[in-house]
Amino acid sequence: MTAMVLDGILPAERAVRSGPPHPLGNDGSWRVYPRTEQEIRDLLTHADREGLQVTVSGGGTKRGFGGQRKRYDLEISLAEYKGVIEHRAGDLTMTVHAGTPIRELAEVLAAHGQMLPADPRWPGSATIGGVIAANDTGPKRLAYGAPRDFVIGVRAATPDGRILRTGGKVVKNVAGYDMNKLWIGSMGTLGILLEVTVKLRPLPPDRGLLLIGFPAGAQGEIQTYVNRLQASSLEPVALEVLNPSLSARMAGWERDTLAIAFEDRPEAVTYQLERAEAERSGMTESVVMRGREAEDWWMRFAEITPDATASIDPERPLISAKVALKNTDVAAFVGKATEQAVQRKLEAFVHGGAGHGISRVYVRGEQEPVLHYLQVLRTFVEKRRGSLVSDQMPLSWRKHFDVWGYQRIPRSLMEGIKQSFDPNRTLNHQRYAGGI
Amino acid sequence: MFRKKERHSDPLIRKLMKLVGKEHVLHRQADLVAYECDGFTLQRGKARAVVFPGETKEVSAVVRLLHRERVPFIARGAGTGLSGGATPLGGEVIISLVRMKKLLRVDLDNRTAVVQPGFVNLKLTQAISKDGYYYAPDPSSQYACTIGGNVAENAGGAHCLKYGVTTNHILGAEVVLPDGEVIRLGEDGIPDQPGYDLLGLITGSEGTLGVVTEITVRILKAPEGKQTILAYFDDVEDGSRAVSDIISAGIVPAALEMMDRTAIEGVEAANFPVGHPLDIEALLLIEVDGIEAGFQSEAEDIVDVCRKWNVREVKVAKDEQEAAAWWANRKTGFGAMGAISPDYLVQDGVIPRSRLPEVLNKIRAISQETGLRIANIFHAGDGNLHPLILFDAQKPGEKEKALQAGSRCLKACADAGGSITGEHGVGIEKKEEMRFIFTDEEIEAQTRIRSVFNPDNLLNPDKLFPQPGRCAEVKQEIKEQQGLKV
Repeated sequence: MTAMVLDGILPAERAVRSGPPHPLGNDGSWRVYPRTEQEIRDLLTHADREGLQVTVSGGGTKRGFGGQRKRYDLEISLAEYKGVIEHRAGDLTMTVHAGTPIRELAEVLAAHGQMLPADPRWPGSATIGGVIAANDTGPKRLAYGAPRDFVIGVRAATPDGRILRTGGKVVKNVAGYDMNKLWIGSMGTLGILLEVTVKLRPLPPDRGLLLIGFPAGAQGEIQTYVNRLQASSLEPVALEVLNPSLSARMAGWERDTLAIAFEDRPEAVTYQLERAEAERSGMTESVVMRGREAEDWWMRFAEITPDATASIDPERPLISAKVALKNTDVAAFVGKATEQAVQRKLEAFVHGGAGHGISRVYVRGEQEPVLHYLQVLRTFVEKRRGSLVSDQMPLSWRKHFDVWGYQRIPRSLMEGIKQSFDPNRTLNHQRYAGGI
Repeated sequence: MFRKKERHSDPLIRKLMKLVGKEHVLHRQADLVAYECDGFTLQRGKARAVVFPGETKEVSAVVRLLHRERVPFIARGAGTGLSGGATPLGGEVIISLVRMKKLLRVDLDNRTAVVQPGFVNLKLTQAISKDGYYYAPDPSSQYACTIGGNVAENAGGAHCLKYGVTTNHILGAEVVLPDGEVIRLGEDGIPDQPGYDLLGLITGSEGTLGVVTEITVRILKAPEGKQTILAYFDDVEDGSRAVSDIISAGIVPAALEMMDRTAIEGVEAANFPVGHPLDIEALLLIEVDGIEAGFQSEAEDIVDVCRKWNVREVKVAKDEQEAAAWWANRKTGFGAMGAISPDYLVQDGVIPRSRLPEVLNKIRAISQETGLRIANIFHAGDGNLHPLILFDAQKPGEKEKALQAGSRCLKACADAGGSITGEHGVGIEKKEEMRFIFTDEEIEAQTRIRSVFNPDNLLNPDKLFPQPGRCAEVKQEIKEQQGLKV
């Protein structure tokens, strides 16, 4: 790969020769910043023809997520391929370039009283394309769903030069296969997302947040409370369990905490906060926030740790993992992950959605104890038929830890799908589950 | 005493009988008639046999046999599909899943239920309503259609606007692949299984990627309350504008349905009349639900919006009985067309809801040009139109004219940036119309995926995708071969 080659496709100032390889991996010898669909398509087909290995990035927040290669030949950054293409406010849909940061979208939408039904991490830098490709979700998934629920159309480039549209621009559509699903969570192994059409929601008229602090080790009590709440007709948009060290930062007390959010008309928020508060036992303490204050709390929650663009402590890097379990196993998992961290003298923030099944672990420490810790958690999780995927880890550690874990989907189907989009393994090779 | 064993002359039938029991195979011509089509009755074909497995192992064994012998096959539920997805084209073995109709497990704390594919949609809600839960996807045929069929079609319903369609409620499945291998996706309904989202891909694949033999679904807690509002408009455009304004007011109703004058004439002449005036141009049936304190004020806002758009009359259901009567009147709307027309064809286009007035005008023009009455019943909130084309199959040429009018309605939806089907599927009915919205390359990307699962195209062959080839003459010829003269 030479600058001259890239020059023909895009101006020299948008092709940068990279420095030393990033400790998180998933960068390229060259990083290019295309601004048009034609440039992206040309770069990709050129690479495919020449046998060059390509990786794709947005805000760089997922750089430590998966991948075995020391380096790719080319990193196609979509950081300059951004902006709203069409916001059909009356239809509650929007089409945007894949490189648009979540916060930029949110700001455009808020001006129209609308929102993207998603609360992924690091909204200031994470892009819509990256959130979809990595299937990143936040606590409010309970009410608003995941990318598989809000992505209604995609335009993508495949390495053989095809531009494929999947889905459409309407909120209900069963014409042909639901190919949109293939882009979600597939780590850019099938094509480069160019444009995404999403379903929107009206901004809630009001928000309420109730934080309940439980005595240490009261996982059983949290679960009982959650079950009672879930069996009532209240409609929480988040039911997130936080471990004591995360609570110390987010709630100001070092207890297990349940964060319960309600978003509705003001009278309905008030009513639900009161009912939820009335249900808690005397052993607990609580705090209530409303409106802007509640929203700001969730904004801080989306940035519990710095994203992958922050500088990395090579001895004690920040490691994160996403855990999927049955809802009723979440509180127990948060307890287990906390207890195991304490035993190993590791610093760990753990939280999990008791209504949607996704938990997250952020841990800092040396390689051996941390990897052992994750292995113990994975055993706990897989015994309950769930999964643990590490979505941030330095490349050198990934040689010793299979970030994706046990694969239940037959390899032939995974390979077959990859083959039908990217037969030459040009895109994000070895970055995905099963070494795809 | 020896009784002469009845041996069927077709060795395949004998093998099938051996796998599932003689009494669970139909093969006599007279018995196969009922399986010549599904709810899309304009095209029929003959199956080779119908087999009724009782468990996954039997499904897998039957599929293995058919795969080995290179015999095409189709999975079928209740046969309520409206696009011919379960209709044999000739010589397929139909695997009917109606014997696999158990509700296997309910887990209220995790809000999941596990059902066999032949379990009827409405029965799930009936089974869990005593505990205050329900299953959200509610296609109009829910009293008969099976959840397995709902997965195949990614079925919708009146309440998708707020709660989503089938795919948003499917958490796991056991699937028999076209070679007989059994796989499980989304263990225990746990989300985000690492790997491509095969569950999402199979949902809505119209039975061409695998046979679903067990399904884990999400169940929801019934809302604290709901309110149903009925509004009569003298002008369709006023009704459409009211729809847009309700949405832009930040309200997400649980349902937002519209019927036009012809549709109202039908439902009032059928089994569940509720006394709608016959001289109005459009009615809206709106449901809001959730926390009482919230939806009460939403209902008030909706009434205000309707008044702003010159509503003739707007009323809130005074009790559950009244709301139920309005809904029964709406939900049986398709069948009600039988009261005012010998035959009807249901279409299923989707448009961005802001284009409603424009597309309705186009449909009106199609009606005038073809001389066929077209009733409109639709999920206005999500832009899913159901033009009902009224015709008389006894009159020479009318069926063809109806099909053509249907196709033109879909073209109008596609031209407005919409889709050719929102919930009924492509089946055999809309194969060619796929070209209204997808390029050859985009269709090929999908058939490549089909080949990954179903390389020999033995499972539900020749559905969903148009025949390859661009030129109009070829398409014309194909339609003629299918008996659908264009």
